Amino acid sequence: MRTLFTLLMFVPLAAPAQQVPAVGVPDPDVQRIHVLEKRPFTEAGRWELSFFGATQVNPKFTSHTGVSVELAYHLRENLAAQLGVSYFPLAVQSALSEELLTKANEAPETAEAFLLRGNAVAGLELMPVYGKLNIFDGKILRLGFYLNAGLGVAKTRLQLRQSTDPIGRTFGDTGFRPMAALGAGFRIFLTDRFTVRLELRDFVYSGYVSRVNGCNAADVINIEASPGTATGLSPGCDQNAFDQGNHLPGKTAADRISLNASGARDLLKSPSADVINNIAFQGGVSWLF
Amino acid sequence: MCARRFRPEILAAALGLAALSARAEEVIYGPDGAPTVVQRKLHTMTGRMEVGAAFDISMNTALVDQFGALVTATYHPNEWLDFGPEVVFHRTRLSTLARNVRVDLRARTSIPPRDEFANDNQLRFAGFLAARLAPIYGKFNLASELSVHFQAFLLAGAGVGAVHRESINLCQDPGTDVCNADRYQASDAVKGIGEVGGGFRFYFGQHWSLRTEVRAYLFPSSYKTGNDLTQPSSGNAHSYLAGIVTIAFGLSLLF
Repeated sequence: MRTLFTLLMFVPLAAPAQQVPAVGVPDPDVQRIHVLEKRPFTEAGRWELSFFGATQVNPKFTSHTGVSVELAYHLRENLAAQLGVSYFPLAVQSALSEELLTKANEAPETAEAFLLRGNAVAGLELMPVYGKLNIFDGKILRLGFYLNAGLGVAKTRLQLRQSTDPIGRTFGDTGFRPMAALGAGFRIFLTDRFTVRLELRDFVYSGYVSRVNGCNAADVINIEASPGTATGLSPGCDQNAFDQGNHLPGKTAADRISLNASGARDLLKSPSADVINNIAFQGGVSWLF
Repeated sequence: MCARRFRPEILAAALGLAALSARAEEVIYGPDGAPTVVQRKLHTMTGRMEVGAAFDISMNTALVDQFGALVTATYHPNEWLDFGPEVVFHRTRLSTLARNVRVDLRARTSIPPRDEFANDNQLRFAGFLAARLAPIYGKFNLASELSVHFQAFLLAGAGVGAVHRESINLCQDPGTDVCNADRYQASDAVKGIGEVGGGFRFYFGQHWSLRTEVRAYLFPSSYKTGNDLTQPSSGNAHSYLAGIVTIAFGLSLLF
């Protein structure tokens, strides 16, 4: 019995010598096996805070660059609820729009020139695809591909004067619009807490414009004629909001109001409506906790 | 007095446990603490040739529509690098926006002087010597069982190309009339062109893969400023670096 036990204990020493055939191509005997590997960590039940830089990738008539923050709670491993806000400090008409105006006296329709100042969106994210990657055959990182969708509100504005105008770029407030957001991207897990995120997000909102700074087409004609002193304006119309732009010598507040009201008149004279697709590339980092 | 006795079974047990623990140490743990399964790449590239064809279309040229074909032939000396010649052919034309601008142009005047539109370059043909660096190899699972292997790469190259320009707003005939549609200033030039880009390759097997990539073609161009619209020879050339960004989808054959 003791001898048998002794022999059995030596078996593990011999076992490693029996295995080994080197794995890999072009070995003709190579066998493909399925390896079931449990995920080393899960996002389920955790919060995620993300910070992004964003820039518009379809800048035909408008150009947007900004930042966004998103808070998400991962309800399940591949499903999260999220709330995000974005702010675009650079939301202006594109170089092409300004070229059209200065070189050909043309301008895009008002709806197409609609600018997105910021937004808040709540929605869901689905991450159905999970994978791994390595860099130069070294470090192995995990990644997930996701889709997201949400609804929210957008703060919008219109550019009233061009950058080449003596008073510089000026803007008129066009209020809030309902917004939908659709996105797709991937998340690379640097550790179980930090990820890098890259995504494309389509911000969809209505481009219908009937008022600038609360004023309709009749109001801005009135303001242009009597800048700062116009009367009989519709409720909510703020004529002093048109006092924007560079303070040039010899130009009074009334002059600036008149110029900007003139810009608003051009934009409001031919009503247009469109659904705007503002497609942004977002790159950022997130922290899971 | 109790004499010490040699117990071979104890020695065998100790050695056996040592052997078991030695095998346990062979497990490789990843950076996240989880055991990592070290696998060779399913799709190796070293020493292979690749021929690819793709459809590409420009994304950032509002005044010009251009789309066409991209053909590549490269050699992979190792897993991360491949290089070789590329050619691109584009069908180009002015966009609807550019044609609408022309239709709305008014009768020409000397004053005020006008600038020509920029970014009206039409890249019709180009040949490059390009290299791709593919540092990232990965895989993901679609529907649990379908595993897709992929590679992410950056590319850069240099070459020459034929660039056609057709002015949007400058007429080649002197006068004050509205310019006829076929009488706008035009030129053709062969230019040195650089390209940079990046993309993904998704493997279908050892021989076929789907490639999608974004690339920018960069070259010197110019437009004329301060033009007297009634005099075609007026104006001063203003140089700038033109960039045409395209997105391409295509197939590659590895052999």
